[in-house]
Amino acid sequence: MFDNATAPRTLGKANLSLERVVLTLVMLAIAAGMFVPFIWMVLSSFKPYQEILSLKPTLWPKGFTVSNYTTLTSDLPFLRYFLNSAGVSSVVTLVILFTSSLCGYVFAKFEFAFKELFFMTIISSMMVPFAVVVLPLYFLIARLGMLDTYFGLVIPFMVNAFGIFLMRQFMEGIPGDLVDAARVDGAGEMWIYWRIMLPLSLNALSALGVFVFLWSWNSLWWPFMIISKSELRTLPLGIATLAWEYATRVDLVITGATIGVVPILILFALMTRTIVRGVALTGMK
Amino acid sequence: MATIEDSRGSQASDRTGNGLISRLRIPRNAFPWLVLAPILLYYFVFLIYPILYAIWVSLHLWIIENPSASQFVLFRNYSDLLLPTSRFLDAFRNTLVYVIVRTVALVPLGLLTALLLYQFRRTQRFYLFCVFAPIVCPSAAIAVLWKWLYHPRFGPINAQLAEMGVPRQGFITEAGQALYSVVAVDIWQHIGFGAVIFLAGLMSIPEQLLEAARIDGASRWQLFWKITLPLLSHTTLFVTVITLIGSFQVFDLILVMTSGGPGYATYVLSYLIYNEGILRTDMGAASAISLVMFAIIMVFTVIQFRLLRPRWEY
Repeated sequence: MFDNATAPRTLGKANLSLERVVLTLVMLAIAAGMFVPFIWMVLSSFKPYQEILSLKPTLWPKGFTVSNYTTLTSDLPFLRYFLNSAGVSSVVTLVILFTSSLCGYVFAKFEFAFKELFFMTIISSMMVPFAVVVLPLYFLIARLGMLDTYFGLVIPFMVNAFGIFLMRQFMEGIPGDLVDAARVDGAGEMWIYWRIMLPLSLNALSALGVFVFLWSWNSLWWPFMIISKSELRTLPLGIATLAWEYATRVDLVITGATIGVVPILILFALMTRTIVRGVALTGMK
Repeated sequence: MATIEDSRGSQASDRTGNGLISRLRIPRNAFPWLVLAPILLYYFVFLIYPILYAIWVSLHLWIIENPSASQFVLFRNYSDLLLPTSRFLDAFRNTLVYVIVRTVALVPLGLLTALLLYQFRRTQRFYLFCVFAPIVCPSAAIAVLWKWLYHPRFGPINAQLAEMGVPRQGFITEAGQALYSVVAVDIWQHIGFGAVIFLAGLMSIPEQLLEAARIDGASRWQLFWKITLPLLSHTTLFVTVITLIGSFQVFDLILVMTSGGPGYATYVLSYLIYNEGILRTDMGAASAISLVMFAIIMVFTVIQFRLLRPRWEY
């Protein structure tokens, strides 16, 4: 999917026709409409306060400055927010990849009592909106004493029904002969999982990993519910809090949003197709 | 032959001395249960229990400080949602508007963008990047960005409008425009999602099919309406349902851009749940609202599950 080589040339030789020019212009206009706001944001983060608040906004910064960044990282633990997000999202991703693939292996390659019943129980949780469980989860986490902790951010998201579904689908396509041969040779189940199933599932794992990481990195509601200590905020929560507490300091707010967006856009530029495939495949956002 | 033997031999020796995980030796019959027991326990604690808890609370006049003193009131919390003092009907209406506008806009826009992307080969990756970029960004950052683009005094959009002689608009600060201003941002952010799914659908249509119709003298217009669109009907349905379900759950944009305001103009169900449960500590009402929302979304999800099995065969 989405490989250059497979994209058809529907217009054939008519590459320089008027129609082609019009199509390109429309496409460019759409691309600009999607991307210009980001450019405006990045450029604005280098403008001094007065320039952003001038009634005639400039696109290119006239009084170029990096003071927004120095203020933001010295007055607020913005780097900490970034590291918090990176840590929490990495752990959530690794844990979900592990639980999903392990369950996927069990559902794909084993026969046992109540298998389909268990599978349907897990899968049907996909239809539960987060809004339904968010308040009970909040009180549960509070009772476990995990408000304002990293544990509280990770624990409700260690198993993902869609991940299990995806890994089962994928692993059912891996020939059972491989597994049987390894068993005959005396391999343990964990060995088969670790040395056969996982290496053969890298495609599905990378798609799922990309999706889970982005979803965790971007999530706001749950951190907003349980985190009140400044130094434990994730990046989205840091940006949102900045927008509430420093509502009049546009320069800082815009710079905070830039810090939240640019790294993820760079990552996206480097692996456009993998990420697009991950999000499109999982189709959950 | 010798090499195959060799590799098998080395694999066999691998099997005895490899890492902690590989070395765990678990009997075959016990393996599924050893894996599933903790997973199912986890499911019970972090999913089934919260749902049961929400149902239980929704049937009570819930007292957060002392739950055991809560009074059982059956469906009072549900019927109270219809009282004029409740914000439920406002939030419900706002959510419906939000869902309808977002879905009606996103599906055709996604298809159109996909049709455009389909025409480009060498530059497709670049356009894909631009169209998809807002989706990978945190909604919190997107919300903050647009809050300032929309700013009534200093925002670039209003500056542009002023230059063209259009009076400045309040956007998210004006009750009549706020909901539509937020949904516009949401639509802008998510066009790429439908576009990518439709693009995958377009690419799976065999070229010969279109070629054959073209040879028979079909126009570009006929080609689209008679072949492309019918073959995409399953994809269209899928995108529509996914978009519907996603629209019902909007929270981040509302929280950061408007916090439900001005007044109650952008209260949606998820925001109302948070507001009733945490800010007003009326857990009974919050739980009742969340279960109503659950019921609505469940209908669409059942449709979605049916759709996971593709019907079109080429």
